[in-house]
Amino acid sequence: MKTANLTEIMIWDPLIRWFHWLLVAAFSIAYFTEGEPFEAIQDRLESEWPQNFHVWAGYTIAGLLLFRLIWGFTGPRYARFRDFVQGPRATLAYVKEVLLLRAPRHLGHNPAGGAMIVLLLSSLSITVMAGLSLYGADKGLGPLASALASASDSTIHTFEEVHEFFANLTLLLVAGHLLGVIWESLLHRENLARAMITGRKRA
Amino acid sequence: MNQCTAFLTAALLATSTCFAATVATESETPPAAVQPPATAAPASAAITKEQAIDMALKAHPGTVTKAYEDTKKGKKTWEVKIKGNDGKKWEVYYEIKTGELVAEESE
Repeated sequence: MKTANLTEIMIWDPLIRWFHWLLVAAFSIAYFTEGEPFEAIQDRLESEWPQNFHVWAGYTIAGLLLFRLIWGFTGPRYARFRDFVQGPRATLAYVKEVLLLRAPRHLGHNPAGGAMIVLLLSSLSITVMAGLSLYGADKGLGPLASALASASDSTIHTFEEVHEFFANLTLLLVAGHLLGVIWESLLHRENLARAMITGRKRA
Repeated sequence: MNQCTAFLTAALLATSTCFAATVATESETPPAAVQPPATAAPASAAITKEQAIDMALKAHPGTVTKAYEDTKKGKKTWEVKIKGNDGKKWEVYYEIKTGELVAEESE
């Protein structure tokens, strides 16, 4: 016999779920193939394929970000920005409730989760733009190559620093996101990671 | 929503395909085989990876951590990464078809 509490409803549409997991895969590949912590492994690979993988992963992330931007305005209810983007005051108030273990449950993204998504998308966008600029100015490749052909060494260095900083910031935000998912899952006794696979949550 | 979903999926695929085509073109290796000269490379002659390593080590003595074909400033180069005896990490780039130094960077 089913009770109301056991009834599940579709919250995350298929495209949002594909977006999420493809982004996880593309960011992981991008970080592993050029990230500083893995430099010793990259050096053992006597070719430029880690760099090519990095570029492909970066282009994939660019496409995914573009899709998410459009989907945030045209997608189903829970995918739309207006469903989960709230001001700093509401977000901080929710974070306080979370820490006091009395935060109300949300079917879609809660205010803190919404803020984290905005931060993640912004950080990734800057990482991608800086990466494309670096690729064009330093290697002379990619869509920005001709526009940045005469970039100075200090400009290239700035692109590199910005790219690295925001890639690492994104990693830090991912850690915060995972912590939030675990915390909320325990608080409301539901598996939020599973919900991002099946798309369904308890009604 | 179905029409919208189809449109967005097509747009995403088109974007990725467009970018991917750019990368595929850029990743192509020049077909010409590099003829290894027996000794140090004269100016404007193609060089081998081994010659690039020799030249890089002369400029920055240390241990080579990686040497491979890379693109720098639109030129096909040999990139030689060195853990220098001076305590710095060096990246030295020589153009493959001329042997000219394209860039050297340290951190």
